[in-house]
Amino acid sequence: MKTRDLIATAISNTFRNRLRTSLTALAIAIGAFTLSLTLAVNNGLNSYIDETIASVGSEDTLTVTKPTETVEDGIAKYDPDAASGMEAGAAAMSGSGSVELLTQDDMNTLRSIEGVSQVHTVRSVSVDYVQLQGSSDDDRWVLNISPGIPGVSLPLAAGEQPDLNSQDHQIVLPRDYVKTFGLENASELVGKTVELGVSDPTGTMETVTAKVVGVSDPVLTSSSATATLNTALTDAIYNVSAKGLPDDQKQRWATASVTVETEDGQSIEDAVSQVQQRLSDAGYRGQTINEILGQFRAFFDAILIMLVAFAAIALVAGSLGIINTLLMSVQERTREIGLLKALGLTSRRVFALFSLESIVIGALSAAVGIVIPAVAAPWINHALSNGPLADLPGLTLISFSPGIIAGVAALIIAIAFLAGTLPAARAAGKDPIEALRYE
Amino acid sequence: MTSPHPSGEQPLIRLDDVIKRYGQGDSAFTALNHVSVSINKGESVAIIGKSGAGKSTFMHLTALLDTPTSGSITLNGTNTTKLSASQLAKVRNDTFGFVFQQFFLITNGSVLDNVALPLTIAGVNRRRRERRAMNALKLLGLDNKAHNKASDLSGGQKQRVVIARALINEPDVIFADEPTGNLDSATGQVVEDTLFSLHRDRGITLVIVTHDPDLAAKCDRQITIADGRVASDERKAL
Repeated sequence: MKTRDLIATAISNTFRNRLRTSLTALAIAIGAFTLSLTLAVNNGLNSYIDETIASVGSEDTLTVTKPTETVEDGIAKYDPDAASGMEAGAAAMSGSGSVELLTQDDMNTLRSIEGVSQVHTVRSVSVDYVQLQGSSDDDRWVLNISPGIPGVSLPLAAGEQPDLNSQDHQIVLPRDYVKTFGLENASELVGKTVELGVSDPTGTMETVTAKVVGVSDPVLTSSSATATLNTALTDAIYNVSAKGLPDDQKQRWATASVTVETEDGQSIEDAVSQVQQRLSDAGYRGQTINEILGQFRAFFDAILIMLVAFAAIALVAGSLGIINTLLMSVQERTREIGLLKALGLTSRRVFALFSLESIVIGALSAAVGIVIPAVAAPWINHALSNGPLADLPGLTLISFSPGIIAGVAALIIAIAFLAGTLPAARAAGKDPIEALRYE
Repeated sequence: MTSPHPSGEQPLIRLDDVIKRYGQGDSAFTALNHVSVSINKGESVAIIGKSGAGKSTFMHLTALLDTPTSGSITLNGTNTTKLSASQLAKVRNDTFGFVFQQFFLITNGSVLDNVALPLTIAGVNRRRRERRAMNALKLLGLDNKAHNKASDLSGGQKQRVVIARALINEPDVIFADEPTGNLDSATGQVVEDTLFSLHRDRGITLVIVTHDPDLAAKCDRQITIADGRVASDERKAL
């Protein structure tokens, strides 16, 4: 029998009992649907993280912290230099756990490490409120702030990046504050002056003024909307909040930002990992933005693994359905199989015929379980980005790639084929006489 | 009890000291016991005997649907016991046509598909096999039913479709197992006439397993099987 005739026969046999075939295919399609959607969401999130990395961090920048030494049980020994309060919180945000504050000595050490071209200190600062200059005192709002990091560009809705070297106080506000301040669009906020309320160590409130140079879109790295300050503004705020502290207490930083220089012919990755090793030897920890975001990835990966496990369960259940359906089919068609064998169809071709039938069921399942979500994805994405995910512009949650579609389809068809081998072997093993005698 | 060769020609099918045993140990059952028979080209042979005497086993072995426990079966001078399962399948496809009591049509296929089935299995392309299937149906007066579903036909029509299927590969031998068993006498008569005209006009060898003495009497030769042995082997006087 020619392969073409075999395929045509397999397809026509599959559609002989439409209801049974559809129900069997549906069971597998549920698994295919779960799997393809999970992979597409994973793909969407990962490319969003990649874009975020590209927009917020340069590859040659390391965030440096000084981990505290721990004793056997993992509980840190008391250290008067260890970070506490808000600075510890800021350092912990960068994923370093318990850290010591960096001193001026540490800065000198960092500068002396081979391969480090620049060391930039990052102060941890906070403000109590923000208000537009000239507005009433009822119009004060809470604001999270963070100092700008060299080489990092913010996704902007309006205006421009803060000039870190400028002596003027510059701030980039998150887009949410446009509505908060009763303005229509982001560009209206650019150029306005804001007052920031800062408490000194004694609890006395002082204000620092700053000019809004830009309005930023939210990114994945900040869980809540955070304003970005230039260095002059950061220092001004820090000076208020550290007023009256002894000098050696003032010169403390939770983290430092280190720029790695690349030698000729050396890749950035190699240079960065060499500097990371040297930092680690010197008792520091240097993390790239990629590694910090790795925590997000690990979280998404955990969800992914769980969903893939559900998909696998559905696929196992579905393949049992295929086995059952085809075994019933082999039983019902015993006489037909006997006839085909009596008329000269070889066992191998009988096996191929039933295997092809299971492949046809698999292909149908793949079509339903992959093509439908792939076609529906743009609408779902549109609905999501105008609804629950409106705060994350640029995120395409369900992102199908040709690789996902082809990979899942191939997997489903392979599973269907494997499920079909048992019934197909049973059909191939039928004795033509027994089969013809069957009544 | 080897049958004599009427001419010096080698027989088409020869069974030499064939034993067929089913099961093992105490439950073993010998269906055929030391059977030796030769069937010549162009003969019409009726296999008769009581139920359970071994007629069907004899036919299945002769038609290479089953292999003997011992002894040999020779087809056109080739010892078939040495052939593999797929070689046997090819021999059946090339050389034999089958007519069964229960028709064995593929019910969801068209009449044309059913008739063309041996050629489909042989790997003949669609155009050629459909043309030949149409010719076979014309011969049996069923060409107007070619595109009907096989399940829509009457019993007599079904058996003629089966005969069309049996002759489409231009076989040397047609094996018929109770070909008229499920048909009324008038329809059975039509089927008998068709088989014997193929035998007469095309020289196709017929091997017919039957209970029907009238049908057996029309054959050149009657082999009676009893208790797994050839009890008698009679030729009609020419």
